Amino acid sequence: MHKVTIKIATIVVATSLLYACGGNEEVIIEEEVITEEEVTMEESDDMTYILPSPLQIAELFKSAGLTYIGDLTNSIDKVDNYNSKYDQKLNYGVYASNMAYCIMNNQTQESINYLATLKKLSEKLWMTDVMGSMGLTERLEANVGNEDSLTYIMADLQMQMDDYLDENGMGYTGSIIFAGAWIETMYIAAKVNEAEANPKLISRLSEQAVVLESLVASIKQNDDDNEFAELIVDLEGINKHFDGFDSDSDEDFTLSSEAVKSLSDDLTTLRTKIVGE
Amino acid sequence: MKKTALYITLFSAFIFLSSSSENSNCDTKALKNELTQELKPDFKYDSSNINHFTLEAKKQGTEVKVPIFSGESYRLLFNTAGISTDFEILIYDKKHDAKNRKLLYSVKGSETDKHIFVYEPKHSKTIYIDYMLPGTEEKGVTGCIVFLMGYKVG
Repeated sequence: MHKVTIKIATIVVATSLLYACGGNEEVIIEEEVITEEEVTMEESDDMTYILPSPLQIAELFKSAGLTYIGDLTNSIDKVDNYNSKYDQKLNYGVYASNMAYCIMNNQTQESINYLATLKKLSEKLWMTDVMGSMGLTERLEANVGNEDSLTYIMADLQMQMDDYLDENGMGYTGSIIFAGAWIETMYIAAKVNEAEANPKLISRLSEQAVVLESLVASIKQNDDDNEFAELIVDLEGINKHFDGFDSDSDEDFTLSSEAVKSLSDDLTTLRTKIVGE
Repeated sequence: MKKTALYITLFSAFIFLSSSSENSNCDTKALKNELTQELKPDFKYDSSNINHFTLEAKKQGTEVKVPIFSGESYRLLFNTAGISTDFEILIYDKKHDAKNRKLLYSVKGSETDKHIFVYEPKHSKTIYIDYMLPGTEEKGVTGCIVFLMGYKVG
């Protein structure tokens, strides 16, 4: 716990009659009395980190010019390869990111396929309630071609997921799922940028430094058993590309072309490690 | 004699449970649902967070770091119906130990009857939400503040 001292300054006006040499003169003496009050503030290690939805990040990238390249997403055929809970959580995030990418590019059938894959993984993770009550497939089919409505449906799915994790005390699972989604979204954006360099997209990729910082801190907070040590090391490796970023600085931070290239290479390696060859 | 002891135990348990439920009115799903209504029609759900508190003898505070991306619109919503004591919500541009941090928004529970608060940041960098809670000698006073944010791209 970190103690923060709040200084409450009170101006006390004391009036004294001072007698100057040779005559009566009223002098007002202002005395500042400082009352100190200690407030217990949790240290930054215990800070709560808000992670944005993968959909928001994908939408930011889309508005910066992220185009659709079909074979970048992960194959749904690999879903049965993910046997450990850890792999299932990470790849749930990967597929959620793929679904968002397809929804934003009007690939409705692909989106429905990814939704079916997410349902399968949610059953393996005992999170069936997340998908069960929403009639997602029907809603997706009813809104084919309406990108705006489809993104609202995706946002509803995120909210259901957050509610489920909150109600079941599984906040740490949210960080791992988000890690999978974040790596996949960054990978897709870096690959699209490799195909055609886009300064707006590079600017949006650079902004993600703050998210990565929070993601690493959030996973560390929930890793008392060193279960996620390898993932933390991998994410810290990615974070090295954002060297020089300061979340409290007023200066804008933009990755150099070389940094974007090396970031893209490392994201590809990490992504392959998560989804498999 | 045994019956008397049993009645005393049951009565004590009833009093304890009654006071607990009085202090903790955190139906977080209902509180969140109330906030999602405030996103309509322009903002999409992005993320949420529930801060559960147990009051202590000393004043206490906790900080939440929120990423804000440039050029986008955000609506930050707070539901304080789950906390029956006084509270303060303060939003800053820098974290609690930074020099020259600027207060962007504040609300004090004792100065309002409302329980839903809305803040739309003009600041396009990370912001920090501080929840400040009073100290109390009373034991077992719990509560929660629900935070939810929405975004609008472009």
